[in-house]
Amino acid sequence: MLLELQNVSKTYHTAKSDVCALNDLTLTIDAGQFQAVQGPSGCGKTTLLLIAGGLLAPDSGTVLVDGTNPYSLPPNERAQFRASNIGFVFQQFHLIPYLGVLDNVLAPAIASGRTDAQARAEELIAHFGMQDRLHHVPAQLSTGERQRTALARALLNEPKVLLADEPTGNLDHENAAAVLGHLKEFTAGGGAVLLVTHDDRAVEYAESVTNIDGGQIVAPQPA
Amino acid sequence: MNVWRLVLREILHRKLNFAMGLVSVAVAVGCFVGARTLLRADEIQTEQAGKALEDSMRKITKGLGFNILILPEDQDVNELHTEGTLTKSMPYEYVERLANSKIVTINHLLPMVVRKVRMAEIDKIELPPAESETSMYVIGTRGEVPLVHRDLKKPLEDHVPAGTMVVGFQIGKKLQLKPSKPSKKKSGKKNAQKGEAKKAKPKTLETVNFLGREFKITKVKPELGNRDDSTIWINLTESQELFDSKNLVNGILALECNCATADRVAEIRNDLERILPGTQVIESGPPALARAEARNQAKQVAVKNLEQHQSFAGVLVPLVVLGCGTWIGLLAFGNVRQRSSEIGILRAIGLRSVQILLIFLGKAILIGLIGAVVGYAAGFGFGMAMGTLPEATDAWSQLFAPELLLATLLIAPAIAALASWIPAVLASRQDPAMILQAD
Repeated sequence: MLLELQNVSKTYHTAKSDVCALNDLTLTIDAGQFQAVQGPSGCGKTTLLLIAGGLLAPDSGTVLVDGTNPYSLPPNERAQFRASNIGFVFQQFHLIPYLGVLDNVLAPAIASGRTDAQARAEELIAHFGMQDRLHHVPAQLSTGERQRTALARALLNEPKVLLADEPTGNLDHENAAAVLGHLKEFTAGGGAVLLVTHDDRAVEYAESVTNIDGGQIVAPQPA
Repeated sequence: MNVWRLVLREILHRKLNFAMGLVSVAVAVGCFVGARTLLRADEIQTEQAGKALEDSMRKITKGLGFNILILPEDQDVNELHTEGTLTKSMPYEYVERLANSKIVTINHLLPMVVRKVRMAEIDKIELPPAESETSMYVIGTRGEVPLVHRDLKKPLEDHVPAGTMVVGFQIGKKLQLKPSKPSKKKSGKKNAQKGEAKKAKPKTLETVNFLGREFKITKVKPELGNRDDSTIWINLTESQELFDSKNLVNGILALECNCATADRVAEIRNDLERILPGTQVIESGPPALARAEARNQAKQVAVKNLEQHQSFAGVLVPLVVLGCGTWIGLLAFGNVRQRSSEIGILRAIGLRSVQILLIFLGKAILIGLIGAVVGYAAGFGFGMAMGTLPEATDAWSQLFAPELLLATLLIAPAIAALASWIPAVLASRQDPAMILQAD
């Protein structure tokens, strides 16, 4: 298993009330598997992704990424582990506004210290058809180009797991298809993808779809 | 890709934020360097102008403000020069006559009774047998007699009240008394008019018996290196009684006399011949003393000016540095808030806290470094332009201080980093999950 969440629970404590985002959720993804998670807004999809990505510690339960529990690592080692093993793609792209495409794609190399980062970045950018946009900042790119840049950035350090949060939410059909195609391509190379989405188009690319509601899996169904 | 590239790219993207920080550092450094350069210019100017002023004062005092001694006509001047004392007398009424005259060449009249007596006449002075005949001078003085036709001026010589005694340095030493500290005298006409009645009662340092009378020593003069060191001053009337010279004086000292002609003594003699016939006039006291005093005063004024500038800079510069440091901190805080989304994604892709810290501190260090260079150049230029140096001075080489440049290049980035420290730490501790969820 590349990604394993066992009996994971997470509750947000606010001044007014406690909100249970995940309740005893178990989910596993194998190498080469494309797993989609669907559910209504506020059902805990993003929380699931952050917990799986080593960014948000669960209240209980275990998270294993390629056999390692990231939350058992000291903060700096966890960051290093994240840089090497996990890639993120967000709906809002989260590109750094003052960096060009090349530098945005290269940003994870600050953390990994990868020596062949430049060549790898150029290769990815060419693969995503953006070689003529190397020095364009995000404001000069279309939304599809921004998401492809974010995807290239997520893939720079050759992660084992790719976590995607509504990656097609802001894209038209053509660009969404391109992005999903690239995610599928990633799994073909042995990686694992966990995609949380509302988009039914995305589900078509997944090998399995998990529905969650109220922090729990409600009805797993084959794609 | 590394942290510095990220810092540089961000600086180029948010130029205004960087420029405001840069200006802030440049102002603080410029203020510091400008003040130091001006003070250095001040020191050089004080040094050089002080020399020029001393020279001017020497030339001025050479021609002005000399002292004369009016003596009875039958007084042998050789006796004064060889024995240091006067044996002939003239009526005290002469002083009043002179004071009531309209003479303009004379200032500050000091009638006096002068005697040379054995030092052992003061009961508390114990001398070894070999020195038992050691002499000292006694001067009876009433202080200054004001000239009726002139406004009151600050007296040059203090009144010695009856029953009191002022002693010279050597006499004080024999009595094991230390020289009195100079009192802070208020100058000017107003103070002179208040009169002696309102003066604070002087502290008694010692009580002695002198020629059968009790005197309280109220002051020990500092060492002057002349015969004043071996002189005591008592009240004029008492001295007249002690030396059986009632209504008589041995001489009248006139200080700071002014003459229009080159032969100044002759001019005064001519004036006095009409007012005080039967007297003679000689010049008294080395003018070098007056000139030395003037030089000292000129030096004191220059040093005081420099001290005032130093204390002003000592207050202003820390205030500006503090203000600019606070401003840099606020700018860094705003920068952190503006970049929270970026911090979230950088943490998500694996950057460690220390790398996030370095991104913000690196920017602050760059602001400090470039601000230091700009501020040094501006401050030095300002100091060069505003600092008034004498002509023919190689200002650049005299004012340029490499150690100051080095200090600003080290201190400014350190202060900028320190000012940005809290915002940078806050940035490094931001929870990426919260940021990404909020977005």
